[in-house]
Amino acid sequence: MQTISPAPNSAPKHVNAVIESRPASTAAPHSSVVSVNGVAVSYPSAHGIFQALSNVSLDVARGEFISLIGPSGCGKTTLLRLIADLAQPTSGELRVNGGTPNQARTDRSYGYVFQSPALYPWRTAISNVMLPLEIIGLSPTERQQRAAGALAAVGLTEAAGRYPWQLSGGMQQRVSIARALSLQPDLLLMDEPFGALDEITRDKLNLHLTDLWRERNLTVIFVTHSIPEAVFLSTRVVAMSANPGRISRVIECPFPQRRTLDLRNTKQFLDVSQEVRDALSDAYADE
Amino acid sequence: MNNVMTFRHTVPGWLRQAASIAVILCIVLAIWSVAATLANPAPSDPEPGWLPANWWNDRPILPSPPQVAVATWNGLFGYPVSSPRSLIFHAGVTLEAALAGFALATIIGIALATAIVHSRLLDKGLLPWVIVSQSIPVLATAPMIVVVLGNAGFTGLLPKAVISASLAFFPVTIGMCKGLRAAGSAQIELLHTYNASGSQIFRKLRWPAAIPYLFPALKVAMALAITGAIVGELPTGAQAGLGARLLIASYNGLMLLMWATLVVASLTAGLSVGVLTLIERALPRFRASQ
Ligand SMILES: Nc1ncnc2c1ncn2[C@@H]1O[C@H](COP(=O)(O)OP(=O)(O)O)[C@@H](O)[C@H]1O
Ligand SMILES: [Mg+2]
Repeated sequence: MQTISPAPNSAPKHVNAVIESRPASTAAPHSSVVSVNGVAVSYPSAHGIFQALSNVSLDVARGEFISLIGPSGCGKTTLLRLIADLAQPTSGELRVNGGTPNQARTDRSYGYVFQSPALYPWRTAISNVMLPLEIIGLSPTERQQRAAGALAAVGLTEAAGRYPWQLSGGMQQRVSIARALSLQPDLLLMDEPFGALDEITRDKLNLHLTDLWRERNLTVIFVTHSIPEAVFLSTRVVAMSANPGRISRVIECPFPQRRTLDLRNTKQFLDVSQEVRDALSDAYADE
Repeated sequence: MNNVMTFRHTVPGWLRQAASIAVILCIVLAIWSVAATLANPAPSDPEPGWLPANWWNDRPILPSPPQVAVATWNGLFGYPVSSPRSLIFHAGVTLEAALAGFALATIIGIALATAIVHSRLLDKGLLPWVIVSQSIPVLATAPMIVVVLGNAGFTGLLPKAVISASLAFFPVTIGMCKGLRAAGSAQIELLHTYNASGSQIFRKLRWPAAIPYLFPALKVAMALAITGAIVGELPTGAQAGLGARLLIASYNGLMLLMWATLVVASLTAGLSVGVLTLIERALPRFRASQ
């Protein structure tokens, strides 16, 4: 917990605050969806040991939208991969839904959206969305129904029969989000999903994502390089810095759950953005 | 430059390919014609005609293009297909062994590649042997295979198919090793997030990702399988097959028969590879995107 002490509201206190503000989840604080405790990751390198993450602690309550933001190489992807059980910490402990990340992965309790859409080019859009449903062994009719529902949720019903190379970058990324949603997880891990898209498309997808988050009561951990995107989507923005990768500040975004694009013109939004920018300029100055 | 552009954009691809093949063919024919004119002595009683007289030498050192064309035509269509003088008959015998060898090679190649990409030990231990196996001349291994299989009671098609497969499995193995490793790391990790099993990863990802690598490998394998089947007919003392025909031609100094047989062998290989190309075209195609 010490790592985030520079932030005015340290993590445990904040988690309590969030849980109190949501009568739906009356669970005790330890039931946070993701809890990261003093985690470090190091890799051997030419100059000895490279610290990709050092003493990172973070608690994410149900229904939160957390953005990870920071200079490249500060360990955002690494942190997401630890939660997803795609990588292992050198030290420290992670809990996902109260269990180990490995249990969460074998339970298929999260959906992961990669930086590249990672669609299978020999499958149509809907068949890509059905892939996880095939893996868990659903019947063909059920697969079809669920995949169609997931595609509809990202507004891609008409593109169901098209191959990835027949889709724009934004549509490909929406298919990959539908694929992650098709397993109906409560937790969504997203690694710079909109990083390669133009601003207009990105705005659209941000609106889509914030609606999905609210309507399905998802918990989202979202990596981005864009301050407005992070502030617009999140309940909290986690600013990270590199060398060693660590959390430098956690900034709250105290906006209502329902968000529209005009939120970005409010004074409160600009103030929070400025706060994130300040935290990040410290992080970049550290380099 | 402008003309080149319009040529490119108005002429369909197959026609351009046919044109370039025709150009190469003309160059080869020209060189061949000159060589045939220089190499062959004139016949003692030259027939009148507009082609050089020594192009129709009965026992040519280097047969001329029209001579080979006529001999090939006669070999193919001058006898009933069941006749032992028909080159179609012999091509059929060779093709049968080659197709059996090709099938064997495809299965062995895919199985080896699957084993190699799934095991670091086999990657280190087996792949070098696969590569070394191809540096041994097939002319040396073919008689050994014939003797060993002959003692075990196998004669006829099987030894030829095995010799053919011993050449043809190589491109399949190498191509599929590459193909089965072609899937991107995000595509693989995606399946890890679903807790997919190893066999699911193979069926849903590695295998379909390898298909674009399979067909080029199969085409090379097909050509090698035919070469292998022909070589396999040499030490077996076979009575039938293009290899047997070549052997007879070479014992008796029948240059024309030799050339005609070689032309038929190339045609057989070309047609078989062409069939594979058609199958590949019929499959749903996708662009490798990443
Ligand atoms: N498997 C690995 N081996 C060695 N170094 C790694 C490995 N994975 C990540 N790193 C290093 O850890 C650092 C953090 O990487 P990453 O989490 O991808 O950063 P970010 O996503 O914030 O840009 C980078 O410097 C990267 O080179
Ligand atoms: Mg990253």
